[in-house]
Amino acid sequence: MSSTEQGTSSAAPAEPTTAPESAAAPEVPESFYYVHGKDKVVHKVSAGALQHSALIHGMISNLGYTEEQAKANPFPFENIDGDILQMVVDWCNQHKGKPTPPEDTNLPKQKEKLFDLVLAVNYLEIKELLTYCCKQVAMMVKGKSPEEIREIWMIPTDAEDEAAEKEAKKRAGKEAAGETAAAAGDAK
Amino acid sequence: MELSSDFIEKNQHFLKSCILYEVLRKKPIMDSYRTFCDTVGKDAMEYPDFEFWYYQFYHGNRDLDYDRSADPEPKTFVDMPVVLMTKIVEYLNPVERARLRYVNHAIKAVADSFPLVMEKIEIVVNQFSMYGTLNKKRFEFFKKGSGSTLYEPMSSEAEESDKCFMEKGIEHLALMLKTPKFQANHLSLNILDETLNLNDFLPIPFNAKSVFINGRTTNQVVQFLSAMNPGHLESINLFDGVSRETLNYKRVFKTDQIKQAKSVELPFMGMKADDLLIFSHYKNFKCHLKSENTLEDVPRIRDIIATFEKLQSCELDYHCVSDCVPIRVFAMALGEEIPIESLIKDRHMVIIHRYQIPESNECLEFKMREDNRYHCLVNIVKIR
Repeated sequence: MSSTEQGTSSAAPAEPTTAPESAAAPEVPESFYYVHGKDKVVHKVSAGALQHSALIHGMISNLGYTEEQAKANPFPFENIDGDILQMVVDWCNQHKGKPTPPEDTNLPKQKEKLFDLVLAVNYLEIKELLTYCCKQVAMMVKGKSPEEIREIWMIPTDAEDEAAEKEAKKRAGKEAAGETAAAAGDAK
Repeated sequence: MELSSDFIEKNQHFLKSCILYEVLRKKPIMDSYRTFCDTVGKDAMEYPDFEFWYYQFYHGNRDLDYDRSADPEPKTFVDMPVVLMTKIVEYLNPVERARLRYVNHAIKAVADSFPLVMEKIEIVVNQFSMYGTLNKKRFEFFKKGSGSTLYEPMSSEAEESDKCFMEKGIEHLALMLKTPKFQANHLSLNILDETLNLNDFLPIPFNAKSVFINGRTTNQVVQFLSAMNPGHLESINLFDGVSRETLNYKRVFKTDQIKQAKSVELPFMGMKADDLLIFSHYKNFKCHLKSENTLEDVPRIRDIIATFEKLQSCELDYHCVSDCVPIRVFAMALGEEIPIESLIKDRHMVIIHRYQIPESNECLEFKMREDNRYHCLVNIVKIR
């Protein structure tokens, strides 16, 4: 299993200067957690950055892991491609502790990445990023004709849908017949 | 000349080079794809593949031999759960949502889950063109020979068709107007040619809250007015800017739409004082009145309006047949003393008169404003 360490530089706690509040409440060192996607590449992310994800925040809030325990138990997100998880981690790091701007222009323009990103972000429950992504997907078809929309969003026509459905039924029928024949053969 | 499928099969690098060329020219992806299809043929490459290579090159990866077979199957819009589809569609405007209905039956269900409410629709039809706006988005269909040309502001190129401009225009509008649950807050119709075939022009009943109709004949006006959903329609404005005949108000007033509206604005229809009774159920109305005997008619007008229980305000465009100055005679007929130095506002004479409605705490305030030698505008507000 390979590993990359993300967000460590920005995550280092600042040295207290002369601020009286800092002196009154000593800063707790920031904790880090580890996540990996389908490619098993592990990303080190601060708890602050992970707060964007309601799913992960809920998972870690009561864990109280030590650094070693966190490192030994990365959160597996097998349903998310490695490059997509990387995008999500980057976004969380970039927006750690910052108010989210009304628009995010850094999202991928290529729709096959964007749809994967939407699904991942929805799964991880990152509300602001989901809003940006959904807006971006909608922007793709602004002012387009139904035919262009179909091409851009890769939507099959009703005829293609029906043909695919028939094909699937046919295949299922054949498989069922094959299984019955195999079961009959076994019985003999 | 389109390339043969055999040539394309054997020369995949050629197609990718075409895409790279467009990327280097910084041409937007949809424009690039159109040029690509026009040049090498529609079947040369599907849009998803074109898009893949476009963005590969766009992001600096110029490997024409990149092997895509190991790439995971990309997700598409139809892989989204319905809740996400709905969230995405929420960011589209009503016009774009209406277009979605024609993409696929599953997407249609998502688009139809939103009520389709248009703020303002304006349609103008004459002998040579049909144009207007759908929520400020302009469309123009012009007659060209036996066919038509479509101009859309966002597109630099005009689209030509063999179909006549009315047919194309109706098709364009049907995308939107014939959607279930469709509503418009305001519909403006200017039909400037009485010979046009207007069948199937609007879905019936059409849900509009307010409507402006400018037709050339009473038939047209009644036809369009009758297409509105009477329970939904609140405000009606009829116009006779270019009419060849005076609208027959008796026919107009037979329609349920006029009977059920809350406010109406009518053009000159030859109405006289006693005809005001047809406005008894309105909160607001505007109309033209013609009088041959002001001193007799004005008290009658006042007494009729005093009986209108729901009235909030109305405006009469009062036309006096005699040689007198209408505002002066109107005011005198109400018993108002005409000031020696008339009250001048915006270069027009204004006279205000209050009338206490008998056996009531309410009164009518008449604000008379000189319009021209033969007209005066009388604004009447009920003060409760």
